[in-house]
Amino acid sequence: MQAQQDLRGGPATEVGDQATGETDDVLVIGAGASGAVASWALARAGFAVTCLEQGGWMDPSAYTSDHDDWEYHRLRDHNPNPNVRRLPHDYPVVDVDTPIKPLLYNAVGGSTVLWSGHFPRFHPDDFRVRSLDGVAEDWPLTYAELAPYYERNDVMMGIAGRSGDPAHPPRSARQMPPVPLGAGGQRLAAGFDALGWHWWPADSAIATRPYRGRSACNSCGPCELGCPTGAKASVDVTHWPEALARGARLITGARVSEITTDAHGRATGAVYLDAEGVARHRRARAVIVAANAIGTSRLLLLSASPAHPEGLANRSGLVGRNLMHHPIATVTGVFDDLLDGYRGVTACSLMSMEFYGTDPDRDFVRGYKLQALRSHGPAVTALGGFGLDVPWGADHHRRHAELFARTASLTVTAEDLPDPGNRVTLDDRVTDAWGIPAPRLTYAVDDNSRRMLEHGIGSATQVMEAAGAREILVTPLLVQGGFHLMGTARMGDDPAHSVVDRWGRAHDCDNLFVVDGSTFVTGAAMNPTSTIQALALRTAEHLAAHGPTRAGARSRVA
Amino acid sequence: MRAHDVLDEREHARLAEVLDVLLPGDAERPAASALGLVDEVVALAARREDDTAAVRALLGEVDSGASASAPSWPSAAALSRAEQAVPEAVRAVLQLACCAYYAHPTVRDVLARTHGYPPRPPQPLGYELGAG
Repeated sequence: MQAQQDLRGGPATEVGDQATGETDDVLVIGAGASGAVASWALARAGFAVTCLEQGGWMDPSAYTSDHDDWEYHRLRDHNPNPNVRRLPHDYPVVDVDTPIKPLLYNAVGGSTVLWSGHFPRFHPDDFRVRSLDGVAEDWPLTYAELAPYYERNDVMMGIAGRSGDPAHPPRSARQMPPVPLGAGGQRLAAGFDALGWHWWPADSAIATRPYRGRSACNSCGPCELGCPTGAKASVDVTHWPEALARGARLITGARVSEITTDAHGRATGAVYLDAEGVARHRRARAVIVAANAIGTSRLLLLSASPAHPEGLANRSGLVGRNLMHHPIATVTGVFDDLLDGYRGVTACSLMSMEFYGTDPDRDFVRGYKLQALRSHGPAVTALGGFGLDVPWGADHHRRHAELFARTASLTVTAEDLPDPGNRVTLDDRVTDAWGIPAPRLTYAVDDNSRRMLEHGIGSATQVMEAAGAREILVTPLLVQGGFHLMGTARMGDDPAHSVVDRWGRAHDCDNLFVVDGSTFVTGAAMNPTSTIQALALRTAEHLAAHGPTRAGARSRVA
Repeated sequence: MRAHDVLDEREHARLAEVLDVLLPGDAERPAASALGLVDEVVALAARREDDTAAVRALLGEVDSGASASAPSWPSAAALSRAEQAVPEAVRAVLQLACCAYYAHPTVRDVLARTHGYPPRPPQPLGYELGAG
């Protein structure tokens, strides 16, 4: 039992587990992409697992893509930027010192509620950039070690795609056929073909046929509003129902303020503030943090104690450091005919590996991915869409008429090399609604990434020209582009140069694990969710097999 | 929420002028005032304190710029001047204006005719995308 101060300034409140006598085998913090996988895997293995999530359950019937004002919701209460959205369960992120703004979501399902479902794997070379290119660090594991976990997680998520991509190692047949390219994707594919450049239908966590109780995608477009049909694989749909059926417990509205430790520095559980702001302590034999690379490092830094004076598991000083995004540029082609890009999953059609990895003839190391994007509805188009220049005033309608439904875009997704100066710290002034210090981002796009983006813009421009675009519009750096959060508690074999080991276990705290993008050693140029989930599955199963003593209250489930 | 719960009559009239500068009409598309868009915009602004504040900040800037040396109001030049002074407020009001404008049935009908854009929200019907 611990005495915790009500952080709103109320009286000290005695809270704890003694009333119920409960001690979890494993306490998971965060119910998003990685926390759901870990909770599911541990519950399936018979462990007593509880997950704390500061948001609540989403109600798909309340999603607003069937509302007349759906584009308003996309810009406001469903905006992926928490500083714009500002819902009661969000926390602010101080972002004045970063050109890339953070995008995330707080709910059961986490950011998979809002994502588009683009689901590429990392390439084998991405795990050994030090060996190949002499930069950053190698991962302490290989693609081959992770491949079985990718495969099994794919089955849970349900992947639409086409196996056989020559740019990647073989993988099993995809669960469903790929998301249709649509008119814009077909136009871009023709451009790639004319140049003789690689492209392939992208793996997408989108049901293109009915799959495990989920409906087939009806190509409505705004995945960011949440998917009312369940076609999109958000983990509140794919993992949580089975996790709960297997006995996992999920506590929503639980804002964790501290991971508690004993005199020896081992994790004992976590303090969270419930919806009324009352501090409660949940005891556990092991703790898994799955709160994304911003939220996780924030929480570890908040959890300083005599045994961990610089923050939990931070003897290396690397907690919060090496924050990586994917710096993104967009190149948009304007075509004469209607491409209807408001139809279909915005970010899922095709991708190109033509410029992936290092080429010594270029003035940068590593490489980038080109990924097709569709377009937007009429209001977001009017407000700029992907780099559009629609003025207000006398010329508004003419310009809108020539752009709306006539564009297709390519993103240049650049590999962002780790830099310890890019980091998450605790802000000394801004707090969330319960008085918990907000995370603060300090981040700069380095010269290597800028040269990479410049090269990518040139490549994408060639594709647009070959595809017949009559006008090409460029966004050199997507400001609202911090979808991918990585690196702030990186893994490695050397405790002096990493926070967690190859299994996600903290070097400084043997019953503390991290399973989100924080553990990434490098960021590749690939969307990270499939790799995050594969790693989370691997960590959870390792913990189940080799972790701290478990209660053994329930038998292992095959 | 009624428009006059948020703005008084003078502010309401001034916002209607602002909206017509932002979104004037042309041969195909109606001006904001022809749609009575101001009430829609005020209703959207009333949902969030920051948007209500943005509307007030823009109107305040427009009024403060009504000096002898300022561009005459209503005009694009005057709104450009306001945009220099309170860019975030202008951006917010423009977002509300476009959301209201492009959700309006009259404008949807125009887009259906000129661009083949179905005059309805994306769900529940979704769209055909073909197999390619």
